[in-house]
Amino acid sequence: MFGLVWIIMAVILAIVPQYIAPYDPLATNTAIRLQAPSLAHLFGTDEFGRDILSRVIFGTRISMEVGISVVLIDMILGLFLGAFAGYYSKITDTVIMRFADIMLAFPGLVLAILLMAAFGPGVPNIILSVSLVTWPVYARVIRGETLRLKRTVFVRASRAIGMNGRTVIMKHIIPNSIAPAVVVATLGIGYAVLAEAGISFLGLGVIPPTPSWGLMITEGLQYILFDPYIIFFPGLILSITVIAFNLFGDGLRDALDPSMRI
Amino acid sequence: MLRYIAKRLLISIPVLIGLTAMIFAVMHSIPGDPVQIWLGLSLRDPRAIQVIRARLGLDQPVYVQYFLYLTRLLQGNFGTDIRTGQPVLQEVLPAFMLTLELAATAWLIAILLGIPFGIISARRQNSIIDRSIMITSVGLSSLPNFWLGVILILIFSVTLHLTPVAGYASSPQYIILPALALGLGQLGVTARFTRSSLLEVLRQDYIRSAKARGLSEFKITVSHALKNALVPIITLSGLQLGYLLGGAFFVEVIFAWPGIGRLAYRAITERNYPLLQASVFFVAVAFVVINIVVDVLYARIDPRIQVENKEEEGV
Repeated sequence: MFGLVWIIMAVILAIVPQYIAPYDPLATNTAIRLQAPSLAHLFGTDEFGRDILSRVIFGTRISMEVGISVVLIDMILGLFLGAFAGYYSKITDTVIMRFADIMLAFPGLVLAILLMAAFGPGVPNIILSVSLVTWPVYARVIRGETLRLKRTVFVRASRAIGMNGRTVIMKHIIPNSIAPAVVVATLGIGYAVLAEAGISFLGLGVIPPTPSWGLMITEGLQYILFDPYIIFFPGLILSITVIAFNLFGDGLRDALDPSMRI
Repeated sequence: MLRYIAKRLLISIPVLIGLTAMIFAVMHSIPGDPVQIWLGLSLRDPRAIQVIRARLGLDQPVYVQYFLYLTRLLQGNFGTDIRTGQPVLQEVLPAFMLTLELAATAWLIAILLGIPFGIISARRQNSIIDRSIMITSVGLSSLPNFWLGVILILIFSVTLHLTPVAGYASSPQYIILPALALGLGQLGVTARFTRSSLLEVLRQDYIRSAKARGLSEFKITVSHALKNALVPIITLSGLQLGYLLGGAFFVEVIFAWPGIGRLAYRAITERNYPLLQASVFFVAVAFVVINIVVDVLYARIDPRIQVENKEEEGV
């Protein structure tokens, strides 16, 4: 429940941050730089006098944009590639899954960071890099589902009446594979949000002065001794958002398939 | 068993070749002329640039460059650091060992604490202890390790003066904070997985029989349940070591730990192709090797895997 409530709040913040943030996130004011949290600035101000709460609120938009876009792209790629790999011949399966294995051979975000170095900074490139790294997970899950569904009565009956492979995949395989894909996707949003923050933390992601939680943490590092709130609040909101997606994903998995429960 | 190992090794060869191709392709997609970037503004003579480019093989077609790269790789030649002129292997190997040291320490933290917490949680299912451990585990596994590292520095280095802020020396004080930042997330994952695995086993008929025979809870858990529950946990733990190698990237930057992640980060900012290629290659190959070892270990511990494998081959 907590996860769902937080996610709804985050989505609202992402859609209309300009009506909720108390200040312009890009407005600088050196007269009030590095102010500790107060009633006027609940999360304090950064080195340029910008309100941290407003920047955190606007940062929600970047995180949600990246998280949801990555997951949508991955679901589409994973559904089609996984279904084709599981349904068709050994050659198709081998080619797609070996390519997936190569992508999965890179641990964590190493490949995403390498791709960002090649593509350059910016939100579209972050979405592209993280999607390219994480689609194999969805493809594997959907392939597994496809192999199971291939043996069901209704799929065998469809083939018996002469339905071609593409139609079987579109009408039967993909619609019945969406549930496990959605569970993976919900957990995947949390991962994508973390990935964007990490890439921006390294200075390879979002371009300043656009507010991003990861970028705010890296910009605040030099002031950590006397003004730790600059990095504390963005990190806290980032952590709670990822926790919310993980809790929601766990709940969804328990509801859809209790046998998958962790 | 040997057949299974041979099969796993054979499957890995195209994956490794694909890895090298991917690294090479991505490296050469990085915009900007590396020669001009390395030389900076001081040297603009096009003839000098051409000579350097020819010496580095950058004037050849891309497929020729890749073939030369692959040939050198097989000979153990990873190229020369553009900035220092030293063989890249001289920098990458020691850095890789330091990353391995950090990842291994984080891994030990994750399994030595995660497994007991998972066992306690499973034995006290749905109690306050269980819920507390699970909430903490979800929280830990969701925290970004670079932010956690900064918070740990604030608390233990800046406020309590218990550890140094960053850097490396052969002293436990230097490794404990980066290892915690890296390992606490996996601790959460291990605890949750252990709980799930143990609960799965505790629901089995033979456990019910053991209870009916009057065996103590401790004996049931340790002598019967844990042995079977540990099989998937060992598999997960093995894979975690691989993930920790990649996750060390951010932690090494925060704590100025001179590992391969920090080396790769420097290489990205310098457009240092040979150094970046070698760094990423080492981490990726280590990950593939760890996955193979885990698969073989899993097959060794659980004989059903080998039987399923033989059935697939029609033996």
